[in-house]
Amino acid sequence: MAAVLGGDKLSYAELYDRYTPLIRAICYDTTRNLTDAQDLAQEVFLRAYEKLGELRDTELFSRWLIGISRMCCKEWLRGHLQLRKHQTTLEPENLETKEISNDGQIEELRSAITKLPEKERLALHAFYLQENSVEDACRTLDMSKSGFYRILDRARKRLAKLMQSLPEDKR
Amino acid sequence: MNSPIDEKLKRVYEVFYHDHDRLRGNLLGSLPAQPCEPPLSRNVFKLWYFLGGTKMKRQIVAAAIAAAIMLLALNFWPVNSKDGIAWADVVRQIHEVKSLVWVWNEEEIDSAYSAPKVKGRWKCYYKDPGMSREDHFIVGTTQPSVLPDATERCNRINIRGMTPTKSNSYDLAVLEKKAWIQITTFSPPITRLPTEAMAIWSKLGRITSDKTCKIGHKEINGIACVGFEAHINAFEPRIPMKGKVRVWSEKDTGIPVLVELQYQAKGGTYISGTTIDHIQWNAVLSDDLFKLPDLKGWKVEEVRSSSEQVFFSCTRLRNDIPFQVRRKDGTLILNVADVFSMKKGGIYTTLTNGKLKKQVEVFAVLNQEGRDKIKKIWAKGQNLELLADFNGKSQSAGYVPISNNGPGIMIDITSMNITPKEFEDNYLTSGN
Repeated sequence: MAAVLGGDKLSYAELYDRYTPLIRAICYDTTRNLTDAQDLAQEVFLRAYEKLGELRDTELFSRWLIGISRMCCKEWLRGHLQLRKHQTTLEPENLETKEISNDGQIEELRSAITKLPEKERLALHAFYLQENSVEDACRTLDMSKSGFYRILDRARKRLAKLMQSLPEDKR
Repeated sequence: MNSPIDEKLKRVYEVFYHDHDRLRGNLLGSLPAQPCEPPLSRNVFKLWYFLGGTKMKRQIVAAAIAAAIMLLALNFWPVNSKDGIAWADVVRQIHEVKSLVWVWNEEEIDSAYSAPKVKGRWKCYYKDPGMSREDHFIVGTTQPSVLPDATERCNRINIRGMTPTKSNSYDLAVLEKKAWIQITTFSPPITRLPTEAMAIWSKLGRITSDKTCKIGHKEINGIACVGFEAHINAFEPRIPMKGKVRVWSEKDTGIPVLVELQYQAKGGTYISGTTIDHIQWNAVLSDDLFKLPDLKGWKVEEVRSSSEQVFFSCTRLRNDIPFQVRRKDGTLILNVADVFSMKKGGIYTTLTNGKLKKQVEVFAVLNQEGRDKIKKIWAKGQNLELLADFNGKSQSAGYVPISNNGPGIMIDITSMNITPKEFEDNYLTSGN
């Protein structure tokens, strides 16, 4: 982190590699569109770099980053809703998930994730985007292991239930 | 974690790695030369950095700190700072008081809308142990006061001095210049001093906290008070009545300042009441106040009485005793099956102006069935003068104590010409 503060962009690239998928997933929960999520994640990392000097405890970088992404998502959503007000032609479906995979089941699952409570969504993102490492996920989300497992388990059960409630052809 | 949904989830998240290298290149290209410097002004002390751990741990620590602060605050907060007193504080004051002065106003309320009309007013004094005095003041009369030094017109004074073995009672009809002096000796010593003047306070002191509720705040004679209210039955449990008792106590100490008793008629209208005011808690009272005044020129009637009580060791009526209690017209009220035990007997001797009167009584404890029978008579308001018979020959008067819910009846056995000890020997047994 000291190197990044000294202007070492390659060190920041390492942080980018480590956390970007998670931030994109978080942004995707709001945008429900991969391109917008990618753009928003870029914005998050740019803003984080500019304000890195304000971060007191480097151990809390991941939490700080998630905080920035939340803020960016809110801004994006606000802007998007204002845009919708003025563009009457924009249909509500524009906010629905745009398919990014040919596999219908995967798309349904991705859509189902966006319906989960935020805490459970974050647990899923952190676990599956950090190579199934519970330690990393716990550190990222600032949670205890037992707490994390409990939330992850709840998320997976809820997800399974959501998937079961879908029509047969979509499962 | 290798369930089918797990596999699918892995595939769901693959998409977030798409185009990663290109995007990283774009970002690095657009980054400014250096991140901003940490602002010096924002070097704020944050407790969280010291606590460390997960969010949940920090929340637990924060909750524990908050709880500890609250406990400390509760511990050191002056309990009586606002209206922290509870009914228990009032009761404690009543139990601990050593001397008291108060005015007892008996009121009559004609209707719910008229102001209470004072029927009688007593100024009461009490000094521990067992000294009491009640001065009755004339209400609504122009008669002159006979007591020369009295500031108010007083028509009756009752002074009592009581110890466990002796009671001196002086009842003075001031306007008529008549005095009744009653000196009673108790054997064995009585355990509870029946101080009439203190009865009101004893009854208040027996009301339990669960039967009271706070009714608010009021300033009485410049004293900030907290009010407590209870149903009149909590005050006088043995007499079935409707009404309420209110006690206004000093908000810092719990010392009663005003007591209001209100009795209701069946329809709910208040018919009578008692207000106790001008209360002086732990007032300095001279012993002379409780001494018999000079009775020169007065008509004096002196009664000397003694009570000798004996508690029976054999308490069961013998099976062959044909015990019955009848009304004067011969209707049977109780028989031997209604008696649970014979508890005690007593010889009561009275010497009035040289005339001796002796009365022997025994006390029968009734079982539930017997009590119900007595209660029925009491409820009907019928004449309670009963005739009790232990031996098929003699008849003696029996009576139910004033408290109709009491456990038994007193039976006068004077006509049997035996002492309580002889009664025990001839009529009682220890067997079942």
